[in-house]
Amino acid sequence: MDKLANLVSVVRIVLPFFYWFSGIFYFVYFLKKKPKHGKVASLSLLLTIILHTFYLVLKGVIFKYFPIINVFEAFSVLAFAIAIIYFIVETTTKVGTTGIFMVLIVCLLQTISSSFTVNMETMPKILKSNVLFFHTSSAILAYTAFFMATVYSTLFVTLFQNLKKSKFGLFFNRLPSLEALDNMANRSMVIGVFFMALAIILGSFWKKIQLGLFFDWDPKIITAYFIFTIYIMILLGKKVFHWSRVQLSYFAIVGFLLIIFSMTVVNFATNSFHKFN
Amino acid sequence: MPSNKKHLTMLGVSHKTAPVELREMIALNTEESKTFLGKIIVYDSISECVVLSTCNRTEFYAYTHDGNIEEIILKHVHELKPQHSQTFSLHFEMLKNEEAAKHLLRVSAGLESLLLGEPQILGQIKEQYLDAANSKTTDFFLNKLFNIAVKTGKRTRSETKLGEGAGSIALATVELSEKIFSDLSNLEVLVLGAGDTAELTSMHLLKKGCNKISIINRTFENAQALAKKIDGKAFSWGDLPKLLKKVDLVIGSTASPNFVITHAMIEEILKERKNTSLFLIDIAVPRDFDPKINDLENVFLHGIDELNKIVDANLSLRKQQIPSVEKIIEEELSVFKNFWNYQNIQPIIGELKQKWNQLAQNQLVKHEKDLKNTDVEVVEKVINATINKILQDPVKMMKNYSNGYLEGESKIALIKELFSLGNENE
Repeated sequence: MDKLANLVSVVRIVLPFFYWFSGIFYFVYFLKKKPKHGKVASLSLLLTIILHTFYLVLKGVIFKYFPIINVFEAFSVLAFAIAIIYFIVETTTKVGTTGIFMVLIVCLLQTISSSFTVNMETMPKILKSNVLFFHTSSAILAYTAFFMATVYSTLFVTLFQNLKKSKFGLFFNRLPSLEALDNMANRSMVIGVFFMALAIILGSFWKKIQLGLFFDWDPKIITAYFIFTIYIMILLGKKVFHWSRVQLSYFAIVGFLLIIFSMTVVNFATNSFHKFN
Repeated sequence: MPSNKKHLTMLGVSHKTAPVELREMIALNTEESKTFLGKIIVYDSISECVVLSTCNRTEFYAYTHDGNIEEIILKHVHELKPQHSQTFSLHFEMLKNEEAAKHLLRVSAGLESLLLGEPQILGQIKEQYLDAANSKTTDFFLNKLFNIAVKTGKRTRSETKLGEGAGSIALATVELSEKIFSDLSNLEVLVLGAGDTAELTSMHLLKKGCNKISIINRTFENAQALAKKIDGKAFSWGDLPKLLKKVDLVIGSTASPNFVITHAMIEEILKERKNTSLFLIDIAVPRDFDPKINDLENVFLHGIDELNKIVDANLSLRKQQIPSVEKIIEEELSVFKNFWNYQNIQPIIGELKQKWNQLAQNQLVKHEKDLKNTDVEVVEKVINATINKILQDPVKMMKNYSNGYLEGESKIALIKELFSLGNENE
């Protein structure tokens, strides 16, 4: 068992290097757009995803819990979800030039996770719940979708400004059309809102079972409702209020900054019960 | 009687050697090419022939016994196109053997095109080679050459960026549209003006699947004529505000001395468009759109200067690709040269084998009576195996000689002399 635990630690250390290696190839592909660089980038990302799957499964089997019970473990699962969803998007759309932006954040998340994660030998009794497992998984999927929406929105604003100012440089040459970026951001937000709603419902349900309340003024819960409202506003903004796509993109970026705030400041600096450990 | 030595000849005119009027006059359509090939292939001196005729070049590739086929080709071109002047032959360029093969590879790669890296030429080469193959005027030699040419063109497009980006104002309009809209087939386009540039741009959009094109022109008949050509719809100037409310892309190419679309017009229209993007391209000189329109949100206005900037950047990128493309051409040309050189020594190897087998058979017949039946079979096998073994090294050497062109040729000539080969036709 000790040997397997050591193996988990080794994989945890090497995993960020694999992601950075893949990120370098995505960066080269973005600059040069040579198909062979794109193929190496995709292949290295696939291998890293396989390694990451092995890491999460092995950790789950050895320590007998789904490794998502503290913020650093959540970072790793978030990185994994972004990588896998991005890989599916790239394979289906054949657009690999946005890869660098996705993989870069994956690299950062996994580096932070690998640097600070410690293996939990025992799991708190309160966290042994199927409802909690689905709650955290939904939240991670929602954050993944919101992250992707943010990247596509940022790229949208960048290309929009480039076109407005007639700058026909690297971004003009490499990025897909404004409409395609808008569609991808929109779809990601719809998926994100769905999973966020699910996470809120399941979280409230779990809280009722464990603590006898559906809602309290916990900072994490308040931030989650706030994030949820912002994304609902963005989705309605286009159809109902006819806000411009650039305005909506800025909202999406603000929404994601709030998520980062929720995962960092709220988790570490406040008294939220989401700390668990 | 034709000699054994065969040649590859390319005779043709292109934008580098002849003015457009002459190129137009000499250009052969599919039927004319077929007629030409049918007439030319009956000559004993011509084994194979392909015609390559596009807007910018008409070239004849022939594999011949006789190196001087210029007169034959020109005579038949003159038969098909009698209207040109007597001096037209001065504009023809003739290339031989390796130079001719290399030229075709350069044409296929797009290095010889008027617009560097122009992509259509590859399809035209494929199509016109197939026409010749169907007319049975090609065989192993030109089949191999044209296959290598097509491969060179494909490699150029997949391994380099020679064909990337728009190379003309009309194509730059399409490229810019593709950066705003993901699917041009859903695009509603309004073209202001019905001149050549408007037509060319509309044609490019049409090729990209854009089939909702409306045309407005001061002279309604001209708008109708263009609409007919591109399967679009003609409208009068009075319909302009109505169309501006629903179209995605507006191309301005009128000859108007003043702005035909003002800031106020677009500002008013945007209120009714519910913030959907409007893309305006101004290719008119003087300009059709007030440049202040670009200050409005969700409106993109690009003029001729911006389009030129895209074209210049793309052409500069294409020029940077030339060394990589030339490397591909050299690689493929070397494959072709090896093939061709082997074709040159193949008859010698065959003749050598045949001659020695014949000698061995003669000796065997002479001594047959001294041998038993079973022995004859064994001796025959031994002789054949020995001949093959003895020939193994010389054949290998001849293949090597054949690859090193001139020096190899003299050595092969020596082998022929030593073994008295290749005298049948003398």
